[in-house]
Amino acid sequence: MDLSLQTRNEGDWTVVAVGGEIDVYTAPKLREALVELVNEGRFQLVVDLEQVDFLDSTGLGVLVGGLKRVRANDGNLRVVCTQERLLKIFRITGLTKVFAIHESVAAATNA
Amino acid sequence: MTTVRLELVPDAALVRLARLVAVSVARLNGLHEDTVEDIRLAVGEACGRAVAVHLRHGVAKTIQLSFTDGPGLTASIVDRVRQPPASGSEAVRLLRAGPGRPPGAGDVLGPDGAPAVLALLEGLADRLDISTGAAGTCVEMRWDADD
Repeated sequence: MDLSLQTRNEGDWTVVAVGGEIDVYTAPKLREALVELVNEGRFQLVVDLEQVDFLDSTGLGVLVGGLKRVRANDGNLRVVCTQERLLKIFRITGLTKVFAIHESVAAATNA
Repeated sequence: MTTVRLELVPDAALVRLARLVAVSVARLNGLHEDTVEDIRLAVGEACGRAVAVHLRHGVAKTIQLSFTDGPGLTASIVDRVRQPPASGSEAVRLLRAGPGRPPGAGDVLGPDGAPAVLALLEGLADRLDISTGAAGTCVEMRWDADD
């Protein structure tokens, strides 16, 4: 399964809806998308992982890189995820302390 | 006892294949779906690390994987990049300090500062043994049979 990316605007936020598998092979595509958004001046990002089937440490690295980039511009990157198998990865790596993880896009954009 | 062996050229696109084989063996062995998910992620992490270290060192040799069932499952992922001989905590230190983290994962820290790959391997497997040597690094992970 490949990686799918769909971007839309919701108010001040840009929502990146990700689908498929984020791994060592596909993660560069997500990295490029996030870098491009930041280069376009979009610093308020929500990454929606609800349609993601698989996430590994490379994908986490891309999200951390995205967070660093937006924070360097006084922005924010919030994550939407309710899948226990993905949340477990955030917990094991200690990244639940780094990312604001929300149950829905609405919750993320209104937090 | 059944052993499935796989050899992969160091190509990131093939890491998914390693995950699929690991999941198939785990399911054939009747492991709980939560354990199967842990195996899928851990094997992907270990294989991705091996691919990265091969690419970084320009080693074109194959990465060797084996999956042995019953009871539980043992997965072994061996890269072919020469390292100083070590086992136990010293091998873990080498893995932590050395190259081989997938691109982008290097700046992800675990709770104790460990790279995310190692944190995941330690967190997902019931038992993790790492040994290094002239033949490369062997990451062996074991999952117990479900109760």
